[in-house]
Amino acid sequence: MSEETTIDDLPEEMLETIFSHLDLEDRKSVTAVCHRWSRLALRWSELQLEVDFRKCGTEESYRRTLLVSQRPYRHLVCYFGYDYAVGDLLLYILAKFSESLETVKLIPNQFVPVELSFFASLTKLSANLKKLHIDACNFRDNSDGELEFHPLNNLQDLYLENNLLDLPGGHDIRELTPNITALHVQISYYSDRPLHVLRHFGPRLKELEVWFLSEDRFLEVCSMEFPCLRKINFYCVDWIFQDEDTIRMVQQFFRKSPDLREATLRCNMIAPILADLANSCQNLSFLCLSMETVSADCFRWFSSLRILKSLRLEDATIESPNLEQCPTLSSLRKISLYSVKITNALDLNHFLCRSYPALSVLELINVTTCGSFLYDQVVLSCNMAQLERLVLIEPDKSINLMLFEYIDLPKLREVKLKFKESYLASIPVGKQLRLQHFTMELSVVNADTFKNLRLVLPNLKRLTLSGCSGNDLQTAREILTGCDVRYRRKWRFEEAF
Amino acid sequence: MSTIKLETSDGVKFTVKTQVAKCSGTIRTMLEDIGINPQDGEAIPLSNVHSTILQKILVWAEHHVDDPEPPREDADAAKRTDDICSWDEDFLKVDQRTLFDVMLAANYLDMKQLIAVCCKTVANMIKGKTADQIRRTFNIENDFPPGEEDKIRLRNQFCEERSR
Repeated sequence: MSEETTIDDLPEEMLETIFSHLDLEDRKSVTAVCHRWSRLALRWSELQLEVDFRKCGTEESYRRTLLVSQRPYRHLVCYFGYDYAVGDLLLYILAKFSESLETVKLIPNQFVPVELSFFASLTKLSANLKKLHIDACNFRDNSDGELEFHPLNNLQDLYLENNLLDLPGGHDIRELTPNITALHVQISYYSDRPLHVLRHFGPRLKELEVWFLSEDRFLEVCSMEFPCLRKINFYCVDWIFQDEDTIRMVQQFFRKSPDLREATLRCNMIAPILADLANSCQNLSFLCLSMETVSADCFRWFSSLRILKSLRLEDATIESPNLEQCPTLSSLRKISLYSVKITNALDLNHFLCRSYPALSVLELINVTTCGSFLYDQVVLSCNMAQLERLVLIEPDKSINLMLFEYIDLPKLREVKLKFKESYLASIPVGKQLRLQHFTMELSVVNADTFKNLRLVLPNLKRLTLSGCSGNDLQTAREILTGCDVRYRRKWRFEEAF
Repeated sequence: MSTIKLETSDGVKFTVKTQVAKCSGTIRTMLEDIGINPQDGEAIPLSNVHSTILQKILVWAEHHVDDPEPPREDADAAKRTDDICSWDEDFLKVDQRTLFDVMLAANYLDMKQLIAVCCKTVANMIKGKTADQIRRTFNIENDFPPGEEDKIRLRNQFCEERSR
């Protein structure tokens, strides 16, 4: 050990492990430290190039910087504005990074048609692409049928929220993307082509996402064969189960898909189908349902999914579960309730505590209860000894400050709050909570807010704010020394909703 | 209880419980796969590890010898750095030179849990700092030509984390 060991002596894979613990802002700092760190930090597989043509005057900046960049971007997302003339610049950018690009996500302005020739060029430039996502837009063909498309043989995942399934001129998406295993499409009443495409790819699909613009198509899709399906998302909010036959057909669908791991079913599910789903798809680890009524029976079916990790219920009335009927489900780690009405919050909270002992994440977003104050009930639910993360979003409500008296759980390390008003100045000082991570949206703050926060949350390691000014942020950093104060432009939770 | 001998780069010999020594994947492989017989009394040479560092690492191994296998974490949990146990936190309150020596030795000895906790510790030293503060913290030379750093900052504007 003649020479002193420094961080430069660590092998590259170790530095990469260190960087893997950092989030985007810290990674950006790391890229500016030295050559070696810059190179390593940019190998990050989650690094995404974001090109946004909605902002004025960005084109010139992109031309100057991106077209000379040496960075091996793997993921590109592009937003279009009103001016489609930027298409050429985007094609230059695609060409520039074509070797490394694996994911391309295009979000056009849906009121401005996109030339089909642009898509033709894209297929030519993106031979290595594994994932292609083109958002809602309308492609139009001005080319006299002379377009040349190149098959994307490496493509695994295709998302089309547009008319590309109906390629003109004898071209067919089935030939352009022969090897996909994940497909995200919308199906309307006026074209049969998407159904043909689904039928064609059905035997090889592992992931399927369908928006039914016409609910009449729902049963047609349910009658198809998807033997390898692992993940399914159905959006058919207007669907109503009317008779025994339709119920039987959908039950049959789940019996044919025993390998399902994740299911999102926004199609007014009903208890008899849920029973069949729980029976047929024992490998489910994620389940998201929108349904009119989540009855006591439904909780029985949830509990029979023995490896279920995450459950999300939307737009439903949740009735009281029956504790005796439901065996303990110790695999369940996360519950999200979005826009639901709870008939008896006391019963439900009691049930959640008893039946899901490993519950570590609870998200309540726009939840209402019948005849009682919600937050007193939430407080009760906070007997959950394993709870690590609590998210409460009620933009239309005022907060009940009693909440702070009760959220001091042994494992709770992260709380996210969004309420109607600025409430923090009135946190009861004197109470000390063990929380380490706190995220909130606030508009009216002052230095006292943060001084209060420092007293109430002495262990705070990270504070994430949104909705405040740069000055507020500066104040927070000055007062909360030793705490990592961040600003987040967009609210992001574990999943988008 | 069976013991084995280890010999460090500076010639110091340690007698260690076999179970503790097996926290090192490298030593485990030597004993189990290659069939080095610890009863022979011959010390296993660790030519890349200095005695002061091995001593430190053995303290860690002794403390963690009965730890259960860590659960396979999901991507989100793996990113955490606030789950370092307080014993480890105290253990790693050392000067940088020792910290990086421990990391290099842990790498050589193939001790995944120790590597993981060290990497989290270093990540915590980076978090929330500017590039310049990071350079000063670790005494890293700025080897960018003039102007390059600004270009990097400019390009970073277009970087986002991929949302899944």
